[in-house]
Amino acid sequence: MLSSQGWGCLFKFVFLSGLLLPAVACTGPGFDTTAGTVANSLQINSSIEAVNVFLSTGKCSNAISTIYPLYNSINSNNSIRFATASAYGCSAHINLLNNINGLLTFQSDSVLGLLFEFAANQFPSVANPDDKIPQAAENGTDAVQAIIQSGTVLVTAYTVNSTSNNPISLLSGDRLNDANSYLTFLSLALMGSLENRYATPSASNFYHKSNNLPWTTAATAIGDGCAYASAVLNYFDGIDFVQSVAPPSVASIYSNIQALEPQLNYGCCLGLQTCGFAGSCGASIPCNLTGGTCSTCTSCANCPSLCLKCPTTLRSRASCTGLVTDQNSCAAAGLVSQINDVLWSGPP
Amino acid sequence: MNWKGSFVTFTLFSFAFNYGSTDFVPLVYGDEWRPLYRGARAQAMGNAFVAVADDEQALFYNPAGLAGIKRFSFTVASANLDVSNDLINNYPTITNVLSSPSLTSLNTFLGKNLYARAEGMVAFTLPGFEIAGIYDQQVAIRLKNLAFPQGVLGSQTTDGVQAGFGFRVLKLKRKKGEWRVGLSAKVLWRAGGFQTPSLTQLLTLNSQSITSNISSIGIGYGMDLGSQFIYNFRKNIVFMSGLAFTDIGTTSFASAASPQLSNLTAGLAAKYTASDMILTFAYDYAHLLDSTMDWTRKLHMGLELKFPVVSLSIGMSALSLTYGVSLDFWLLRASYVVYSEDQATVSNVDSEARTMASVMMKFDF
Repeated sequence: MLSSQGWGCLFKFVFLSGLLLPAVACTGPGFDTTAGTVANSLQINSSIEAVNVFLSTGKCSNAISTIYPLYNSINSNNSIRFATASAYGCSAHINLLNNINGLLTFQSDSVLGLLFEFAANQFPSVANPDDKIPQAAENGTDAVQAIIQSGTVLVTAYTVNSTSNNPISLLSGDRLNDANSYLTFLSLALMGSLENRYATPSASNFYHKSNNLPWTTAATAIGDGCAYASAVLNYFDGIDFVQSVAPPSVASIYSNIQALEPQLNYGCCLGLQTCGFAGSCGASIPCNLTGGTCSTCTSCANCPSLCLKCPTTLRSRASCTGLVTDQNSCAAAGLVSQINDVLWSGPP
Repeated sequence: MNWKGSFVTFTLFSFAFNYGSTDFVPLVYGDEWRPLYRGARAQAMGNAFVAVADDEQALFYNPAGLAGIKRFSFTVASANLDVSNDLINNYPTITNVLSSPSLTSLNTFLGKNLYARAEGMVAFTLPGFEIAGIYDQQVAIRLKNLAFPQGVLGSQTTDGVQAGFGFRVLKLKRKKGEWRVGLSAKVLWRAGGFQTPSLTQLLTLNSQSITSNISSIGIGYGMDLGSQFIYNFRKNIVFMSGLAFTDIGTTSFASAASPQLSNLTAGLAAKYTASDMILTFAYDYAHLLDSTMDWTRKLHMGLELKFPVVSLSIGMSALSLTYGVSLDFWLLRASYVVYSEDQATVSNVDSEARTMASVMMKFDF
């Protein structure tokens, strides 16, 4: 048998080793949210992992409250921004696999209206009580637009919140491919939720709109109107990339949607003309789009930016001032009018 | 549609992943550390085994332990099967999903840790020497986040041969103790690995980029070094310490297969022997050279109570409870172990509970 000295020695050995356990069990990677506090990689990684676990069971609020202190701090990086975007995506009711499946199985009676009807189908939303889907999608978009490729020089004219911890680039080429891919879903959520709130799509009639989207003049194309137009453009920025890297069997699905892009550019062009911008290019600039190309713009130096493409700065939902002298407001109004009049079926 | 089936297939059964996108950002995920060999006895003791290693498993945990082996033995077959509890509990659901796969049904997998591992080993052991052949096959699907699916997908097959020597370099007077060192070398063939697919890969269903490494088998050479110090405190009390450096410099493969990461572990143990019982306590601190790993994941401790036929073990691997029972019937040893592996950066954020069943047939001479 063990002597008393032996037992004592064995006890001390076990005890001292075991003493570490409760100490360890009570410690964690807690993050001090005090402004300026630097979090270490363990704290950041464990927070992101906790977000992923929360989002596996739809605990969106828990995920946001876990990641937001890091996102809103000097520690923010692309991994944190991805986690933030997905937490807001959860609040915006994005279920990525369901959404992809929905796109592939959605029955539409119109190729032109497919995107808008599908968005309305996937993201029903009501303002009273406010389900906050549009706001969540907008916050997620902010996070994902801040996921910039390393080494990128940001252009001041296309940078939003440049002094924040998460500066946004409106140029899709500045962002990581995965960011642009996820942007398509956040944009879809924003489009669909606003469509449900303002156009009352009919579930029994291929999600045709029951009334027009209201933002058809520069004066009204602010707030939700500007957000809607920016979501449409951001969606196409993302889909351009996804379509370019997809294998042929899948690329064709995205191509059907991508084919609408010239129509959107045409809508922006008409909106700019309505505000008189086309006149500044001369009377011979009729925005005569043929296959998406404005063939008569060659004589005007600034025509390409006005006629061939919607303004890059309209990718920011806060870019519209509501004035007829504002290109973004005018282009947004024209884009919405084009959707109302040509692309999305339904009265009036 | 046909491509949907392809999507499901590649998601579930992809054998290797090759990222075509050059700007892929590794989605942060703790993942587990995967030892080359996971023995039932060590696992039941919380993987605290570096100082204890005194049997045929010493070759993989600490080759210095081979110096303590006094008999010839031939392990005809040792088979371990590890399965995650999520896989066991959700098996009927998963079977249904696989019988009619769809994109939506893949949501079934989100938040669940699905893992299975089959491992076989054959070994010939002499005093101070062992040579063993191993076969290891493991698959895992760990997807999280409904809004932005991500996580670990993978499959890995490893075959190999490992041989090692253990010898005594110092002996204390009056048989008070000894210092052992050991060295082993291995040659492994591995295909596949564990990776995280990017969102773009999921969206574009680019299975070609994912499956291009299926047949890519790479060869790798590795070396382990170990040390043990045995101190006979009393006739029936032994204190032990160990230091093992496995896969020194990381065993890499001549393909895209996942490398076998190096691990430096220090351990302490105490053994008390009574008439028909051996009580062993062990404590390891692993991954000494990994400064990025949370220290709670480095802690291992275990207790083994060994009787002539039955062995009972309990332990803590990181902060997760492990326990097991082992039965010895002449040539046969059967073990049942329950343990958890952390799949996150820190302990207890995402613990994967597993069950291991092990059968070994061994001749002692």
